[in-house]
Amino acid sequence: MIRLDSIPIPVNGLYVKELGDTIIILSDNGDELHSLDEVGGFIWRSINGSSTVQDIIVMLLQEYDVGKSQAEEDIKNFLFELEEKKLIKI
Amino acid sequence: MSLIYFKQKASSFKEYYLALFRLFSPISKLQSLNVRCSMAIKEKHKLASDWLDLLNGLIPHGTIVELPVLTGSMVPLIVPGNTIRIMALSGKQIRRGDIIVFREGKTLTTHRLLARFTLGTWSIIYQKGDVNRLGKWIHTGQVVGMVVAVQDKNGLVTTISNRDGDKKARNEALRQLALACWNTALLFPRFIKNKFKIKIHEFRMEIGDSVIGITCPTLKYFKYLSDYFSVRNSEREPDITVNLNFIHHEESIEIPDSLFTTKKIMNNNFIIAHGLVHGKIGPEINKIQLWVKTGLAHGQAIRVFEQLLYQIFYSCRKIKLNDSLLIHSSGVIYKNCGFLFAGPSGSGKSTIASLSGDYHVLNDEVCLIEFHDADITLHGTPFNGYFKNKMSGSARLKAIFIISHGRVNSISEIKRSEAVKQLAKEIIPPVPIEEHLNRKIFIDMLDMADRLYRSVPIYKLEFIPDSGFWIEIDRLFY
Repeated sequence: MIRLDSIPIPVNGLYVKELGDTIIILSDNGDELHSLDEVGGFIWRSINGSSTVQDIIVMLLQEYDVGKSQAEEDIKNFLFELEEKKLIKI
Repeated sequence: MSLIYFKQKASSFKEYYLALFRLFSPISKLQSLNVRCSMAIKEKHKLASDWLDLLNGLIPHGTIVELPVLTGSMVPLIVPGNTIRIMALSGKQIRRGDIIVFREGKTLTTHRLLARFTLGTWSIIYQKGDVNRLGKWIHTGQVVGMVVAVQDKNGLVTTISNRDGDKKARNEALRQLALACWNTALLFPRFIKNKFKIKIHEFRMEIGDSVIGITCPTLKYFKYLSDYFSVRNSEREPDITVNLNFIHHEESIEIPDSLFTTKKIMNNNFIIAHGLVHGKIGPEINKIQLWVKTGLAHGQAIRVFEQLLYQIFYSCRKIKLNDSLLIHSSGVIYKNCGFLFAGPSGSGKSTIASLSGDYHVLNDEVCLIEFHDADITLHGTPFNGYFKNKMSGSARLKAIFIISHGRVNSISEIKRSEAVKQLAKEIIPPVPIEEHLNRKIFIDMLDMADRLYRSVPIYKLEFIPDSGFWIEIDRLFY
């Protein structure tokens, strides 16, 4: 369960490459290549090991024109997916 | 010295021009282009028809034709880029010291006549290029003409005289003959050595800057492989040598798609695809012993066999610290610039090559890119696709196109992330034969692709099966 005061941390040993507005992440074992679009990339950059989920929601609301509840749901889903793919720990 | 002007075989000249006309005739909106090209064609056409006529002995004796020279076997007398004036004549009229033009298969060659041997009506001559170590005997009947003058790039004409008591050319011929005899004598010890040693057959594959020497104890496989890769033996010393042994087997074996993923390594030994291939490195770092089951060198399997050579190339690259990569692509030199067409199988690499037959097609399957300080160069490789008339060569890389079949010919911009992902997929994993395919290799591939993106313009090319896409490329760059 992702709570608002959870702090997502990137997993060690990932290879991350920024290509313009896209971010490419190669998993630890080298089996999977993930590609994040602009918004995904924005959230990824906000995951720095000290920001909470709440902080990330605030940052996203400043940058993008989106409702608060919508943003909260999207970010939670996205973080859930990142955790499932073993790219972050929460 | 070869006189083939367009590097095409004579038999395909007709098709070559037909294709050129087909390319330019249907375009009415590009009339200026049309006119310029048809003039170029006429100019080329005259050269080509003189060349063909001379080859076929159709020029009346005593007539002089002019042809450009491409290669340097007669340097310093005749330099590539010079034009030579050739007087058509029969073999009977020539003598020692003459610079003769003779036919050998479907090529014309210009060399110096050093000696002549006649027995009744049968007559042979010994000829040699001035820079060659050894000459060759040919039939006098193969002679089609004699060089009477050389014109350099500035238009300065030097006549070549071997008549009127001028002994210079004859003396030069005697000197060259003595040289050839000496060089022949030098070959003798090697001849003796080869006679009494188990013969190891070696061919040397040149891939850009790297030379891979492959030795093969069985003549059958040696011939098969050197023919398949149409290897023009490199004269350079190999950077890496592979001792290739074949293991016969009765049972049928399964050929995997990839020889990259199933490698197991222990110390200096490696096993690929559960024993289909095994090998070891040593005693030196640039010596590789390989044992390959014969099933991998037959029919379609040889395309999988090539993957071993990719890996050996990358071993070589590691030793030489070269900055280069192999990429699944079709490469064409057009207007002295290298154009690369990359895409997965089925995207049309071979189609692109066959539609570019008028230009210098390097390869339709795998090309080499070398990074230098100042620029990036595109090179052909001996690897094989479906296009048969590939030529060796290299040029500065001008642009990369990621290709797909479309409903019209169109070139469009491509996003960086998209370009990098697509290109990285086509880069042949830079795995040396003695190493595993690992995560770092994927990172290298992505970095290489991104580096290409930052150094060379990359576009998306959708094309229909006609050579009109070259017009789009022309519009973009010229």
